[in-house]
Amino acid sequence: MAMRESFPAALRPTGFGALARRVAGLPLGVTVAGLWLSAMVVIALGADLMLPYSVTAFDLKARLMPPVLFGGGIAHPLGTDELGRDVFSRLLLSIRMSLLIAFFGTLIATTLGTALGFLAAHFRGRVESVILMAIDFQASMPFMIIALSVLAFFGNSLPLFVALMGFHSWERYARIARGLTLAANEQGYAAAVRQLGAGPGRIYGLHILPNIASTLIVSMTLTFPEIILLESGLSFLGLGVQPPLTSLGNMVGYGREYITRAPWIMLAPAGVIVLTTLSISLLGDWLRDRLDPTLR
Amino acid sequence: MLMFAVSRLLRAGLTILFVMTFAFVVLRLSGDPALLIMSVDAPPEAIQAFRKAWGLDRSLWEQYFAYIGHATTGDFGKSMRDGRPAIELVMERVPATLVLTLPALALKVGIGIPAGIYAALHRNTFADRLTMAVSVAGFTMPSFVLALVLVLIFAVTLGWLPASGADSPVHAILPIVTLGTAGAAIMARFTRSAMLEVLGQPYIRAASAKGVTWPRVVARHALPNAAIPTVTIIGFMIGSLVAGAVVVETVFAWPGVGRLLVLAVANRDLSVVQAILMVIAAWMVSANLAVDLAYGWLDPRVRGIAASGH
Repeated sequence: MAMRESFPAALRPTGFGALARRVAGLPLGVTVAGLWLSAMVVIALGADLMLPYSVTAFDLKARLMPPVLFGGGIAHPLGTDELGRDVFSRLLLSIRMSLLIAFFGTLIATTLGTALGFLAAHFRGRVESVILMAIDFQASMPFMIIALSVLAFFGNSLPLFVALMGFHSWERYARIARGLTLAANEQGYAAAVRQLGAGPGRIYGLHILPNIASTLIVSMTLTFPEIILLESGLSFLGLGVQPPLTSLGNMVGYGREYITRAPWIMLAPAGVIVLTTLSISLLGDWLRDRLDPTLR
Repeated sequence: MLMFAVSRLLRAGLTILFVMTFAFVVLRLSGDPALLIMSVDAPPEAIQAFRKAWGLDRSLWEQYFAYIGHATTGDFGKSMRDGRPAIELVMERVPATLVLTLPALALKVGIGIPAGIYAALHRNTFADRLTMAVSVAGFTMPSFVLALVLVLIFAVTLGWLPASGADSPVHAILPIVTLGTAGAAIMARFTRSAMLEVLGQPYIRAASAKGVTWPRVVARHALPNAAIPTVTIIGFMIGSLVAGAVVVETVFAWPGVGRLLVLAVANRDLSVVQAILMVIAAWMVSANLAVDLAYGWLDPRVRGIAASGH
């Protein structure tokens, strides 16, 4: 912000120069985190185009080859597994799966939670008590346990699993949306729009939502890594993403059996999980300081 | 204080009822329990007998009340796998889990709280930054990764400790360290921010200004006030003593509740899953209740708010 104000409008640099200057103003950790996450997003979007090998192609002559700096060849930069399948290719597909699940999970949790928060704040009374009770229930049980029991009752399929991840931490958004909406309803702008005859859809969608969006976005940077951890934990236990699909947790669980002979099968996806969640947390902390005074 | 305790007790009971209802609804939504719990090729007479025994031929409301009745007496039916009452199977696993989680809790509190207080009192020094860096790592590293890294170092490479199993007390070391490390990181972070919050308050400056020595300010003014948010985290950790080791128990093949849950889910052994769900809920709710009461004892303001109904 300070940077933008320091240039007169007519002289404001444009294009790459401005971008570079702005990036140079960021803390180093945030820059690295941002670069790492951009790489992850590019992989998630274009994994199919980047695969050096087919994930199912095996090469029995090159079984359990170590990664490139540990005595392996450049042909398989992260080594191979016990059937000679390329670990790097599997890793790319796993990154895509884990990020997609976390993305849709976060989206569902945010939408559901915010909608319920609006409903509670709009109707008050009995609707509000029911929603508050559901929030209490969700907050009082570890979500891992709820998720495991739902998987036991319903069995597992990818759409169900993604929907289940969407129920993680919806209560956070419901709480935030309800609290901030109650506060907004006492401020002038919501009352003014209501006096002008706007319906609830317009008030909540066009006026209150933009005003509370920054807090919601900061919360999303908390939910996203949490869902990655939850998904990879369940997949690691063999109860999440099912083969032949693969996710980061899946790969760790599977690599665990080769921990003595080929630890790279496990370490590569584990490293990606840690770096990704770490980057989002760093970026989220930074965003929180910039965007949202209420969460500090 | 009595009003406060009663209102908390009612809420605790309500939460348990909610969990039972959740289990009932989910079980009914997922299809015919008779077909789920019995195997597909069970003879029709056996399925009929099961329906009758569980009252599945009656109305939904009657079923619901019968279910609540069974559940409150701890009757969740028998395990599909070995035919023993599910609740028995679960209860005999609880001690094994506590063998891991209680020492881990001691580690969390014993390392996390002093580290957090030290970091807060020496803000922006090297020690503070180190504590925070370790704590961020503890937040973002999944427990199974930490567990496997520890196995790789101490079991595979150095050969000092066994990688899995539960044959001797030595087998408990790695799982306890895994659970304790991550928890201590979280504890340190919360303690640090609670302390910083309190140290910024005017009454701390006032106490210093009137000539109270700094150690005394910390001990008498800062620590008791920082204790309140810290108690919440400890309560949460006590609440997860039974449920918090699902992944770690599985990695180390430790015969506790968490591993039983994973196996029961994989085998869709529904009676066992329900029994575990209820045991965990009862434990969590009791822990929350204890924390609420501890709050009321630590902080007189909380009592007043609850009693006046806000």
